[in-house]
Amino acid sequence: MIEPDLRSRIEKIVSRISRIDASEFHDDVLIREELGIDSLMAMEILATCEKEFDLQLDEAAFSCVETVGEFFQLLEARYSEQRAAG
Amino acid sequence: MSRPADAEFASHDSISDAVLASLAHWGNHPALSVISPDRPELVISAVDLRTGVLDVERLLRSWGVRQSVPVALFLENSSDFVILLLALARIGAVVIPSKLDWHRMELEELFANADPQLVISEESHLGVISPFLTGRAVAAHRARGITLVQEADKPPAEAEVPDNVASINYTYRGLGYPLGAMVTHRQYLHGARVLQDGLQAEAGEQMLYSIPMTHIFTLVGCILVPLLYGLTGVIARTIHPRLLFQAIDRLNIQHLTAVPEIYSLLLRAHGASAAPPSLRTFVSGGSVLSGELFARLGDHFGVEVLHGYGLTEFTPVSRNARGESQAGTVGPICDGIDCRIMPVDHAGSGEIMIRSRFISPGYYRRETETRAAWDGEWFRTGDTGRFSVPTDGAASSDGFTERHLMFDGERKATRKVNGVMVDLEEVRLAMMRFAGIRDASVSFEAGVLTAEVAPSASDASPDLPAALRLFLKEQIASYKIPRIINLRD
Repeated sequence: MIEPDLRSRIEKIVSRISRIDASEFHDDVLIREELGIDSLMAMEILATCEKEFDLQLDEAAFSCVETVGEFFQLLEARYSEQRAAG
Repeated sequence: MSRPADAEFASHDSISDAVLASLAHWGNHPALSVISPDRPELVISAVDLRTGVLDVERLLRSWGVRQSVPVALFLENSSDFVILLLALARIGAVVIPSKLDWHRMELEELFANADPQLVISEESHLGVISPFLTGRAVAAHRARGITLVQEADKPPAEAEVPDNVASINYTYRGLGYPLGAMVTHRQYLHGARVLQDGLQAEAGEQMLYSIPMTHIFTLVGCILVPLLYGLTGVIARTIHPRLLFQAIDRLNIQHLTAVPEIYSLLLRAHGASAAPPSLRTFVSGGSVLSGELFARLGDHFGVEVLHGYGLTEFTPVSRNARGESQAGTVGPICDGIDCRIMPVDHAGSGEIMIRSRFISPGYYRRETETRAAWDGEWFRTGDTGRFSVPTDGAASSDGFTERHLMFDGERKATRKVNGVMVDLEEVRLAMMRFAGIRDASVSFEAGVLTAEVAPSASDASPDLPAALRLFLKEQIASYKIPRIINLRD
């Protein structure tokens, strides 16, 4: 389960870039087909999250993500890994 | 390395002959470099590129490829794309640069219209196009190299194209289906010369780009300009800002070519960091660059932004030149082309019409559409614009180079989404294939593709938009799927 504060910060980023209300970010919603997030928008979300959380995200892993829930899980996993690595 | 003279290219009728003549001046200098998020950098010298083209030419000939045979390329940006393009050009085959984003509807038209005799595809993409491959020769592109995986049922047939046609490049005019514009070798070479006249790049410099090689702007401005004028073309297989800025710093990139949407992304992602000192110019095309973005890019990165206007049928029509670029315009009309605005409204705006001896000879196997697009020797662009100085409605490149063309919009039912053309009628027709829909309309409001849909049943499920999106994913490229789908009675 992703920690609420982290999820809320990510939701704000995605909402600002995609201009989609965060209330639509249910875990099973398809990022591309249902939210209409295209590759440019996705790249901006990726770049912004990297800056915001001081992470380096794997572009290839992100391209495999299909749902909102998978996206949050990917970010949380990377966030935890990087924290653990110090 | 020395830069070959323009006159040397003028003697060539083929892009491959011109490029190979240019490469002969380079020695072992890098001609192409490929950077990817998940692979080490690949550098190909001029000598290796030349050898690669000749080797692939021999391979293609052994598969029966000969002059005028149409060959579809379903390839990602790569050095092999460049090698195949040049090898096919050496043979005189007709290249069909095909978009990997396309799905059923676009592919139905492409295969029915162009009838490619050989299909060269990324191996991972063969599943998408497999319904259309019966009877055709098929080659798979793997990490490096191509392998024939299916032989044709019969010897390859030639395309019915006029002399000197290098490629059939699909575009739209709002008719609901793509049209294959025939583009000649001379148009490619002329376009590259005109773009280089504006860019004034020096041999030994480097140009980075990440826009798809299937676009005419990329083919002319990013593949041919560097190869003809001594620049190393750096193919970025990513648009991730962090990776692009790393590459710019590490490789001392002078010129970046992209669409305005990518520049906007780079600007937002760059923050307050110092601009890479090597950068000199941003070349922008594909869609409209606002005056505001032009100014912000120049201020932030300390570069000159060269924006222009072109079409698949002819590119570039106009472009800003280095040292003279202006905000909010697409530059003066280029050499070798005449442009007029007809008819002109009270604000001086009207349809942009062009003529040139290098313009496309028409749409492949689409005589009616070709006749409708041409008024004698004048090509109706379907776009509207005006000149920066009031005119009497007619302008020639001769003596009027100080006047800039201002792009106003599209009269045809097409819109640019992130630099890629979307045919609104095609999207509507795709939605009408969905069983639960009685009527549909598509518009582009405030930069967002929006659909209004009338369901067949009065008690349609609120999940219909989601189901429709999944259906559209199988029918058309994902960037054409409306972001907003509203249900109406």
